Amino acid sequence: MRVFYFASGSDGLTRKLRDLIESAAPDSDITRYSSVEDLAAALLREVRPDGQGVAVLLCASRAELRKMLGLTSLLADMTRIVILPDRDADTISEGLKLLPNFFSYSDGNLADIGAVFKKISLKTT
Amino acid sequence: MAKILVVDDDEMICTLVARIAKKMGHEAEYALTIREGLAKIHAGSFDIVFQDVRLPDGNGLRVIPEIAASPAAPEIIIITGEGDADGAELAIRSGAWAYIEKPLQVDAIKLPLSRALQYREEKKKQKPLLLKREKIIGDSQPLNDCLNLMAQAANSDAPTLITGETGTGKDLFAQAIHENSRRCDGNFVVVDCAALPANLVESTLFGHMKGAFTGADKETTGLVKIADRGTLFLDEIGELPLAVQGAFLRVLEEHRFRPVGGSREMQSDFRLVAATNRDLPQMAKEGKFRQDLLFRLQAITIRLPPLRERPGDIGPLAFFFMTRFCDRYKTGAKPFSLELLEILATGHDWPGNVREFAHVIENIITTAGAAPVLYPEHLPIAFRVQAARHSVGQPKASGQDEAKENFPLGSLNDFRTRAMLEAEGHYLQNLMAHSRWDIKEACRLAGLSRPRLYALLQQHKIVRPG
Repeated sequence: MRVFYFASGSDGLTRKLRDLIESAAPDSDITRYSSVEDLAAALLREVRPDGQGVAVLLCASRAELRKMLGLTSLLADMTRIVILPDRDADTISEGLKLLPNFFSYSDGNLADIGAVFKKISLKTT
Repeated sequence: MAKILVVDDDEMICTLVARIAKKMGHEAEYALTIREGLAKIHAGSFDIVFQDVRLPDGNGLRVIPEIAASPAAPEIIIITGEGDADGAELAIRSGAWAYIEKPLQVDAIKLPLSRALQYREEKKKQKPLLLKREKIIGDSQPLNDCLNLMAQAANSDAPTLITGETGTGKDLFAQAIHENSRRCDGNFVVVDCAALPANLVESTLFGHMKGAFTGADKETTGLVKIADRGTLFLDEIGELPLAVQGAFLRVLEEHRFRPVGGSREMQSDFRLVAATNRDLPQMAKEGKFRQDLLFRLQAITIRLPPLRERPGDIGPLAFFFMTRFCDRYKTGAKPFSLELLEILATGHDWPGNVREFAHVIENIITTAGAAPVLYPEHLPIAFRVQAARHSVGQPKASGQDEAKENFPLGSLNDFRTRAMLEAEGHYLQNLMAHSRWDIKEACRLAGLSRPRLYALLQQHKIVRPG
């Protein structure tokens, strides 16, 4: 399973989330992108087999989330897990525009994301 | 005064229905064959057509789409044989407004006739809707029927169930219902029931209080509340655990719920759209889906047709996706050769529907590269092989024919290309088996970049074994 992991920061959460993805689906092929531009370029470059791609998008700020909205059509056929920067109603509304299969918050329970990722990976492979 | 047409090979039935219609103040004509009936339908503007099933020149059900697509788009009432439940079901599924059984009773004719006319009047009064449907492509009758239902759904708050095979665009219809509804300024909240582990469903939907369970470090708002004044889209609702279905039914009826670990009820004014590719009535019979929830869900049901049932949309879809992918890959728009369009339209059943179609077009565009025109040669080899087999039809019996089938004699170039592609497919299979699907290792062994390897794997439809 091809995983496009977006995280612009280099904090503990970025590492923890990656570890979580790796342990939930050890066979997955994960590439991390630290800028929205790099992610966009990768999504454009790679023609993925139908339904094989998963995008895990850790958005550090509202501004980053808004930038991510520009990639909606490139992300269209992928499973999308979005981690929002805060719990503000406007942030949630913006995040929902990415039509995530699951979303959580950067201060949320990472175990939930791991469980969802595991279920998605089982479904995909 | 309405215009009624009766199509039946029994003249007595024709005159009976016509007499009743005239007594009700309408004009009536009749035809004794399908051919005669269609000629009258295309020449006149009938409001209602009574259509018999068994006619000397064919099955009356088969012409329902043609009647419905005629300029006046009359309502159709089917006349079936006595006790023919299958015929009745087929009539309704084919798009008829109602059916009546032979032998005909006067009331059995009058009632559906007045109801159909009343329905038609109301339909005429409705202002035509300008639907936002940018991503829903096509203009075929089956698709337009769905768009009409979508417009009805968008105009109401009734729970709506969208069914259809995978890849038919259930999510696009759900979004379009939201975008065309009065709730379009609210949130459109997707709940992917298939992605949620059973133990997370309830807290995800209804939210939870701090400390409600291990790991609940913060109070979290559930998706039902987030959908307040918006639309809640339960995708793959057939996957919703049975235990949660009961709780959700109550929420759907009362729009009130209690977060996990909470003591106070909350309210949410959400509108529900659900989708599934599973047979929910069958699941309900087997006790895997709650019958009462199913009843509530299907206030409006939209069954999306598979792509094979709307071949007329292949051309517009091909153009739409060609433009999208040529734009994405910055190659400039390219025309399709007629041969390629023909293969797309007739050489494949599209089990993966529009999603599969989009992927094939994307593949064609990337394979074509700088080529100015798109040809069948740009199709993935597996697809071409299947299309070729499809066009061959029945397997040949004689040894000579078999030989011809196995070794179709084309040009040497074609043969060489085919042989190379087959060899490439074998190589990739071996490569991936050898590298145990370690992409990095496979790229190293083959001397390929990762994107190129993915493109080749997709082209040859090679997927990791389950």
